[in-house]
Amino acid sequence: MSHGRHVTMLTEGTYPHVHGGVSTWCDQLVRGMPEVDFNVIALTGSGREPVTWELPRNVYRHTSFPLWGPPPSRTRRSALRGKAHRRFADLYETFLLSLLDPAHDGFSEALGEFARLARAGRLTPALRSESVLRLLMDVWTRPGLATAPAEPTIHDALTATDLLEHALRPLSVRIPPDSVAHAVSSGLATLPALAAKRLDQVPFLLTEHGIYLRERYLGYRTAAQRWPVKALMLGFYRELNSEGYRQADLITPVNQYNRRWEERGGADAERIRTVYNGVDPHAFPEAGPEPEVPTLSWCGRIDPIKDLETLIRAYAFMRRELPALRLRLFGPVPAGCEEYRLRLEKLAAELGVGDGISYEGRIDEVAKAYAAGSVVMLSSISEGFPFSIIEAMSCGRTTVSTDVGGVREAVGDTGLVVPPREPETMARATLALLRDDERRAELGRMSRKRVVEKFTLHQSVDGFRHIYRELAGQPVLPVRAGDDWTQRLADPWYRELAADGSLW
Amino acid sequence: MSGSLWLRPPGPEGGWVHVGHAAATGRGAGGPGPGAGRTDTLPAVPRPRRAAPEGAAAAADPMDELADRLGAFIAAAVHPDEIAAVLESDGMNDEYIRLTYGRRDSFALAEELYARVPRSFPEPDEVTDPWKVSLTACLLRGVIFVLPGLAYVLGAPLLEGPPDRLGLPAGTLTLLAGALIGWVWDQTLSHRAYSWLGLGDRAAARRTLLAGAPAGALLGTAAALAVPGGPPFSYGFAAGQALYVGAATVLLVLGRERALLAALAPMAAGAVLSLVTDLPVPLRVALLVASLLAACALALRELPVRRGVRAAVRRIRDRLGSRSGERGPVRWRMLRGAEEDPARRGPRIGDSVPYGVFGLGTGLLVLYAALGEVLSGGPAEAVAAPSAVALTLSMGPAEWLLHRFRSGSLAGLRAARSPRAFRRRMLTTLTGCLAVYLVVLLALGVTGTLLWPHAPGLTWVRVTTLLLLGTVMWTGLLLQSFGAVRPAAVVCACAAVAQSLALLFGVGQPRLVQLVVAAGASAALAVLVCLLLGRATAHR
Repeated sequence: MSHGRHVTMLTEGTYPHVHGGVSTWCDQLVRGMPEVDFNVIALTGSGREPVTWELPRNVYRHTSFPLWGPPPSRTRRSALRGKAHRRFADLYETFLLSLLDPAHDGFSEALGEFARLARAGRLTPALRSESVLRLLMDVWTRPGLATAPAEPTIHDALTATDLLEHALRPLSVRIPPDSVAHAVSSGLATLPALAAKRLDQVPFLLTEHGIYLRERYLGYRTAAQRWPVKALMLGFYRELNSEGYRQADLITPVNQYNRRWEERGGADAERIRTVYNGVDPHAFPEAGPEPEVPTLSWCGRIDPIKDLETLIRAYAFMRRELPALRLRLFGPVPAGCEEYRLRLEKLAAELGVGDGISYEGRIDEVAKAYAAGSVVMLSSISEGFPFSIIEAMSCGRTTVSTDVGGVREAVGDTGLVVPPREPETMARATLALLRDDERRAELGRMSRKRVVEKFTLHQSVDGFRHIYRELAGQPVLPVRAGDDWTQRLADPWYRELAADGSLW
Repeated sequence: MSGSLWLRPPGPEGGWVHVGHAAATGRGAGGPGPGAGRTDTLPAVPRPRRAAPEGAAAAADPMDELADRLGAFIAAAVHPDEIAAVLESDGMNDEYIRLTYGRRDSFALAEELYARVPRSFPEPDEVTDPWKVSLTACLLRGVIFVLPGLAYVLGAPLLEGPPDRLGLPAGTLTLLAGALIGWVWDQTLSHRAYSWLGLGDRAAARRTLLAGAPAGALLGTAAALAVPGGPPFSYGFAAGQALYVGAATVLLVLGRERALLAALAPMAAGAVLSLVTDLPVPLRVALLVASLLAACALALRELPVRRGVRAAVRRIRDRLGSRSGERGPVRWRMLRGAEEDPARRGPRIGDSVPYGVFGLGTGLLVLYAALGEVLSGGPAEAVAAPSAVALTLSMGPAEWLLHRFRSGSLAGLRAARSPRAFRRRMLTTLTGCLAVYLVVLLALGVTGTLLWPHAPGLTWVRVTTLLLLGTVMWTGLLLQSFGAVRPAAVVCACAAVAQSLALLFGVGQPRLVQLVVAAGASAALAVLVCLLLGRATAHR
């Protein structure tokens, strides 16, 4: 029986292998609850990705589960035969139809049976058999389904079956039955939790930062696959997403905005509870006076999703009015984004503003990055509840950011929010702020106040501490004002972490 | 951000993958291929949006304008929500949608757009063929397989001595034993190293080679020493041969063919020269040693030697010292019992063994093709060296044809709309590739026989045997490249055992035995190929 002090955290492509907002959040949670034992199960690519975060002692186990490595060790070699095979074929047909035709249900039951098979090591060989491939061809070409006119080929069937087989592998992961399963994103990370919920009655908590399904839709546009494969795989992600929403005992988006997609996906509004990200106001103290030269500061990974083109265009627009203005970009260039950085430099050169922009790279003390700006900028096209905004606010800097995800909820009336991908609007808003010293200072003060009141790390971590107890059926501890022991516990490591520059 | 960074198989995005081991690398697995690249989550939505032309256009229905502008995206969408995702990423929020389009939110707008625009199915821009390789690279590898044979020409005077009891030149059996065992080890080792490379872990591949290549060299030398009766120099020669096999394995697996070719150059030049003039013995030795040292040095440069030695020393010291690993700060604490680790970190050693068995089987068959008659008491002149050389030389074209076959069957998968159609196309490609290979092999055999001094004539039996053996080799390699190495290894090993038994007990006329065994093995392999490769699932 679960008692709320044992949590299995499920991640996909984030903590503890990669830096970023979600990983920072996971680290805060794990370190903020030293009394809870964490079992971290990370879905990874090959299984040999290095661990980039130092795991605290209460993470008693970390398992990297590869989606693309060799098949799991307990996989049997033989396929199903006879009656078992016929039963599987019926199940798989229902499963495929539920992916391709939204009106067709049966996904949930099929997934439950797959979980049983996966635990016995039988799912992978069953999905690799020739008859399953024929079945997919047969279902795809049924009249009335949208895939039939797309003329699927054998290669499409092979590709789709392979992708499904790999995507379903996490079903075989077992979760200790006395723990709370906490998936920190939708999608594949929920598979072990769904299996454990169904087979072992493990409580299931689902947290969403970005909207997983939305990112799958956007990400699939560049994949080099034909339409039938795309329809099947996105159908799988859609159904899996909805299944997660339906089965989760509680869904905790990090912002109100995400609710739209969650309710659309079938989540019961009563089981959605927003828990905002938090920041430690001590680690990000009041920044003091602004730089002498008017400066725009930006913090994050140099990544296309941050849409830095818009920021650079906006900056070029502002330079015409304010020639002394500088733009400082703090943050690392992740592997694979080197080309993006070159593209940005080229754009700046074309606009003739390359001399005013500096790439500062990873910085030792993140708070200094915010202090370096008169105004802190954010130009992303997609965000959950961005740390860079609440951290800047905690430092007493006002912000100009794009209206995506939970940005508006974070900023409130303490900064300016502009539509995404509109450099000119962003430039006009920022110019107005830069020209009004008094207003800027007032907004900065309000920003800090807003963080201290609403978005402290203490509130965020404590929110989850209560949720874990609640899901485990334990009496919920009363929350008292001024009860800041999390903060006291958290303080030393958090300062260390901030000094590490690993906060994105 | 959230979600996966790895929804495509990791691994090398280019570079050479030995076709014999391609199955182990997972290349060509159904996943998005090398062309997939980094996923950029920004779809390039055609602009302009808000800068709508004033006047005439403003009067038109904004929905029409939107459907028009996003037409391609909407038509290719698989679900209305996909359009909603695109709209939101373009910066449209619900407020804007209510004001401009009079719809409740992005979902409602997306549903309407989805219904309005008929579906279309755009084909992906680039269709990549991971099996495309250059013919030169394959021919180069073929040459590299054969060139070391010239070392025997250069070293011949050193191996002088009375012919052994079979009438073969002194030391032949010593060298063959060393070469055969070295080859078997090399097959196993390179498969394991390729498996690591296929998982994208070059460092692990290097470590495998660092541990495996010296062990193989020792094993090859030991095998040579185990055969008594060779001249003393033959043992030194065998040791050098074993070292070379190790070094060559390292260089070939890591894709350094050109470096290896350069290392072989002094020896090969000397051998060619020795055919024309008589070279003094010290010069011959010097050239042989120079090539060997060059190959070893180049191989060592590729390997993490220093780190490997340090790790080995540490391990030995740990073994000798205290056994408890509890010194130093305790950083891990297991509060609850550890279950089995679901993630096996690397390839199984057992998976590599069949490659060695396959190597042993084919190696013995080639050996018998050359020496079968002599071993069964025939005259020493009956050595059919050209057959063996032709089979070795043909490995280059064979590899290229294997790639052609995979490329052709991939095209078949992409074109076929039913399993039966695919099977037909696969069989056509298969027949074509095998026919080309046999023609090449025959040409090599005929040329070799014409050029080789005192070679036995090419009779019909010899030609048929050569072609059948070629079929065994190629279909065996084909099965191996599809990961079906176990059946191929079983067939080849059985054939080798059958022929060995026939030799030992003196059953039947050796040429006839060879023919029958080769025919049986090629028939068995042909059936296996049709059964296994006719299934689309084999072509992952």
